[in-house]
Amino acid sequence: MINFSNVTMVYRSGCEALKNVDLEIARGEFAFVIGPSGSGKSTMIKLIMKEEEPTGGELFVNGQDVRDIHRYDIPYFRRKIGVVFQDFKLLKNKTAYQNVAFALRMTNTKPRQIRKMVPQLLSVVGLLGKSNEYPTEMSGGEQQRVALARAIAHNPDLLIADEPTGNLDPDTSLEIMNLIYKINQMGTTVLVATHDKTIVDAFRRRVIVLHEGRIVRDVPEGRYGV
Amino acid sequence: MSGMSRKGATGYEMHIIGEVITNLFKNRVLTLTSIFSIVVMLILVGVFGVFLLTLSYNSEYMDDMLEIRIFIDPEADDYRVSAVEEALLDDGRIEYIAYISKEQAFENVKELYPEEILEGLGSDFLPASFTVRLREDTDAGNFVAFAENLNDVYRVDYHSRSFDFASNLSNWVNIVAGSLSILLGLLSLFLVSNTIKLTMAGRSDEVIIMKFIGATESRIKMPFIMEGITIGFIGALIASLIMSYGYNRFFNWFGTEGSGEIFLSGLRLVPVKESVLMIYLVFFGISIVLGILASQMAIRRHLKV
Repeated sequence: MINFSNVTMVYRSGCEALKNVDLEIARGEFAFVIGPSGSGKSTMIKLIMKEEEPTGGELFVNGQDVRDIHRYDIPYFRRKIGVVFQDFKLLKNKTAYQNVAFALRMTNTKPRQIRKMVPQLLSVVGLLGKSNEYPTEMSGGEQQRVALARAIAHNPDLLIADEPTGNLDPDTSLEIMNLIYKINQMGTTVLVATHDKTIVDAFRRRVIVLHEGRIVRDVPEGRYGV
Repeated sequence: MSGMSRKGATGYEMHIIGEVITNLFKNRVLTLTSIFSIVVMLILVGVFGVFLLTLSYNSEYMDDMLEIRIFIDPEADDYRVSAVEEALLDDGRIEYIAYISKEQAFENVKELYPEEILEGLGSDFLPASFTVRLREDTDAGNFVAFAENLNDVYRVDYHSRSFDFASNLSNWVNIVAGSLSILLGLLSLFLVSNTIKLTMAGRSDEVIIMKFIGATESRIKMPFIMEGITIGFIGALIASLIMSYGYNRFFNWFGTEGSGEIFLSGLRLVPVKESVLMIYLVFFGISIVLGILASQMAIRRHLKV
């Protein structure tokens, strides 16, 4: 699903964010990427999303060499990748329903199909009863659920979660991670960048540790600190 | 797979219209300033356009102004007339020359005035003349002086002053209106672009979300481009209404009894229908292009997908 081959990323400022990274994440896999701030986690996500291009090496995502993806094809490439963020990135002036519908409307989904799909997606994340609530009326966990419903709206092959529990209490964090795990169980490859020791230790999945742009540890059923 | 496709009718168009109206209202001070600037620019372009159209509409008349009429002493016989003609033909500056005999001049006058006015008058009261057109109109001054000194020439008519005035006026109008239009065009571009930038700043979160959910570049840009076009369109509409009303009033005030002739000067105003329609098209063309350019300027840096 994701294949980093000797990937290096040096920003224009000269900052070397990733150094000779080799990494393979199989289709359907669930992996945590951990490491201190500045270790290269965000850069790794940016490269996978083709927000940036590697300055060295090769990167294949979903079978495509990211360098070969034409500018005009980037949106179509991104539709196969769902993303959730620490700050949820919901539109404050739109209800839960409208936030999910927005993602579908922006990608030319027909209104009839949107009306059918949005309740299904909200139901998957357990928020069907809160369709008409605005983000400001929801808890952090509920907002992250809306973000998850939006992320899976295009039935992505890959779900990237960038610090998905960063703004949540431990119980809610676990709920959200269970939801992400459920999505993984449905066949979606999941990559979670996190600092949250509790959830990494609770799930015992593959753990990739980044430090100063290099992979220093890659364990199949790892823990945060070991 | 979801139901996504590259094409397909969605409620997106309605969404854009709603967003554009909301944003224009939200930034109404800058929106109104942009519209006002476009209106002023377009009216200036309109005045400039009407002037050019009037000149082109009167080109035949203006052309006649460049002709020189050399009147021969009514006492001169055929031999002396031929001598004047020879002297004129010897001058290399002439492009063409036409002789109008006394009889022919009288016939021409008869076409212009009723018979009772000319009753009892014979062809003798009018002088014979030569109509001359020069190769280079700039030589006219020297040529007129030369012709006036010929024997048996008693008068030389040349509308040089009127023509020079019209020509100078035309040049000045071109320069002043052209420069002001360009300046105001740039100002409008800047104002519209800033209005759109303000909208973009208020919607930066939405733009980021659109990018990562896989909205195409054109989808992301569309609301901003539509905003630019809408501002341009409203500006063009207001300018067209003002221009239409203004020109109508002008036509009726200055035109002699609605004929469009300016104070019996021989110059005619372009009829309202002919001029205004063309200017409206130019207005809408300019403002829509301006709206698109301004929005492109505003989003160029901010919307790298």
